[in-house]
Amino acid sequence: MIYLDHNATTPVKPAVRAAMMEAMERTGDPSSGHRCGRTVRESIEEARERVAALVGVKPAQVIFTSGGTEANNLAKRVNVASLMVSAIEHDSILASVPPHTQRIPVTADGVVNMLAAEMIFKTTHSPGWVAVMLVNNETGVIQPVAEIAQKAKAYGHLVHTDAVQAVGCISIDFAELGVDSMSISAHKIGGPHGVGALIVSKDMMLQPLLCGGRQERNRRAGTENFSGIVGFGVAAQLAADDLMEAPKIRRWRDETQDCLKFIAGEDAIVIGERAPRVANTLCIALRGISAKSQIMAMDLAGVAVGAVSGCSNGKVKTSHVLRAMGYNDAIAASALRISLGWNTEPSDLMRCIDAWSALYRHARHSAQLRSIVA
Amino acid sequence: MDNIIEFNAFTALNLVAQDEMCCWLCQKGTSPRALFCHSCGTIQPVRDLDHFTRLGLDLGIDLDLAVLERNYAALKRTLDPSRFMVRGAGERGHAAKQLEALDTAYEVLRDPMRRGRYWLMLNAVACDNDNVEKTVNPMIDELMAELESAAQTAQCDRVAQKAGQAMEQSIMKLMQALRGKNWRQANAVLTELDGLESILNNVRARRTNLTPEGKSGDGVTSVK
Repeated sequence: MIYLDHNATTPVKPAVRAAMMEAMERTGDPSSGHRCGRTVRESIEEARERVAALVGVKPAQVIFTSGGTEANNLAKRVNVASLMVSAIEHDSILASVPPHTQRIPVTADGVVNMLAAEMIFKTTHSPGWVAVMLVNNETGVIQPVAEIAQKAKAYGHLVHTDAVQAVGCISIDFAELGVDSMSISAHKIGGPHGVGALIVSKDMMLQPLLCGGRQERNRRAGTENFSGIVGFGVAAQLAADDLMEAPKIRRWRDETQDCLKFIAGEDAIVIGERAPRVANTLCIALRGISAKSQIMAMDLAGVAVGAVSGCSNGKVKTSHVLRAMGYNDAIAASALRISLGWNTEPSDLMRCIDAWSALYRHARHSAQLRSIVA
Repeated sequence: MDNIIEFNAFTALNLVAQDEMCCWLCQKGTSPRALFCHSCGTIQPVRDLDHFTRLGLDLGIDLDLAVLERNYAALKRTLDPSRFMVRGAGERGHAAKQLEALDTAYEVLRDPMRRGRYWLMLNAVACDNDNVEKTVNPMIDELMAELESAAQTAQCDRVAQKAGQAMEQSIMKLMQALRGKNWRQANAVLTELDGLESILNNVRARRTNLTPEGKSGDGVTSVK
C-alpha cells in the first residue's frame, strides 16, 4: 500500500521504534526515588530536552501530554474573559469552545484575515485567549502567527498556536512566534501515537486538566507515558532531517500537482495554491467527484490519501476549512489531501498520479455516457 | 488519452529518486542529506552537500533570510555539542564536524557577496579574467583619493557612507546579474565590491589614527 496521508499520521521511524522497545524493557516509575525510577526519569528528561530543542525553548517549558488534542485543551485552561479562534482551527479547539465564540475569518487563500483579526482583538474584552494554528492540517497553508501574536498582545490577549502540523515541516522558534503556548504531537514526526506536548511561556499560569499527581511540575497529573516520551524525544531529534528534506519534498509535491492539473485541467482546483504552504501538502478538489468516491477508488488502487477534514470512524464530512475559505459545499466535499513524508518515494507519487488519472478518466467517461443517455 | 502519455513521460523525467548512502554504524540506508540515521538514530558524518541543501533551503540565489536564520538556529540546536557529551568519541566528532559545516554554510549564505561568489562557483563559472567585464568603476578611484586626502574623521565617515551606499547598489546589481545568469557582469560587480570593501577597511584603519579635529591621535576614536 502506498501511504500518502502523512498529515493524518506518519509511519514510526525505525530508530524511534528501537528506542521505545528498549524503554519498554525497563521498569520504574519516574517519580520513585530508587535507582530504577531515577534512570527512567533521566530518560524522560533527555527526551524533554530534545523536544525543547526542536522548538527552541528551555526543557521546563515542555509539558508532556497524551497528544495534540489534550495539549490544545490544556492550553485553554487560563483565566481569561473571552475566547477568539480562527475559523480553520482543528476540531480539538473548535469543539472545546462555546458556539458563540468569536471566529477569526480567513481569506480565499486560507490565510487568517489580518484586518478582521485586529478588529476582533480590538473589540473583545481583555484579557482574551486567541487560538490560531501555525499550519493548517487540511490545506498546509502557513499562518502569520508571529504577526497575529504581536497584534493580539497589543490588546492584552494571550495567544495559543496549534503547531501539530507545522513541526517537522518548518523550523519553529517559540520565542520568535511570540505566543504564550503551543501544542505539538509526536505522531506527526515519525513518533508514536498518544504522546504530545504543550509548550508554555515561562510565566504562563495554567489550571491543570488532570489532577491527582505532581508530575510535569504540577501541570499534568498522571504517571508519564515513558516509552512514548522516549520515542517522542528520538523523533524530535530526527525531525531536523525532515527540514533538510523539505526542498526535495516540495519539488516532488509541485511536480505531482502539475501532473494532476495537467490531467484534469479546469476540473482540478488546488486549494491554497497562492498562499505560502508547507512542502509536503497538496489539497486538491476534483469537480463532480466526491472525496469519498475518490478515496475509495484510490484505496482500491493501493494508494492511501486523506479526505480533507479527515474521516471520523470512516465517515467523510464536509470541510469547515474549505467552507471558511469560501468554497461551496460541492467543492468542499470533493477535496482530497495528498501529504508526503519521510519515507515517500517518487514511485509512490507516480502510482498516485496513475490511480488519480484512472479515476478521473473513468468519471469523465461515465459522465459522457450519462449525457448521451439523457 | 494523449494527455496521460505525455504526463507519464514528464513524471518519469522529473521524479527521480535520490541516491542512498549507508549509515557508518548500522550500515543501513540513509538519505545523503540526513544528519541522523533513521534506523539506529546515530549522527552521520559530514556529506558532500551544497550550502543550500545543508541548511534545508531551495537551491537559488534569492533566499528568504528569515527562513535561513530559523533553519540555522534549529539545526544548530540539534547539533549542540552538549547533546552529544555522553556519546562515543566517533559520534562527538561527527557532531562537531556537522556543526562546523553548518556554520560555514550559514556564513557563506548570509553574506550576499559570499553567496554570489558561491553561486558562481556552483554554476562552474571561474572568476578568471575571461569572465570579468573590463569596466572600472571610476567611483572607487575617486573614493580612494578622497580617503587619502581626508584629514578629519568626519571626512573619513563621508567616504565610508558613500562606499556603503555604493555597496548596496552593487549588491543589487550583483543579484540581478546572477538571476539573469550574466556571469561576466556578476564577476565584474564582485570585483567592484572587493574594491569598495577595501575602501571600508582603509577607512577603519585611517580613522583610528585621526582625532575628530584632524590631528594624528592616540587611536582612541570609536571605530565604526
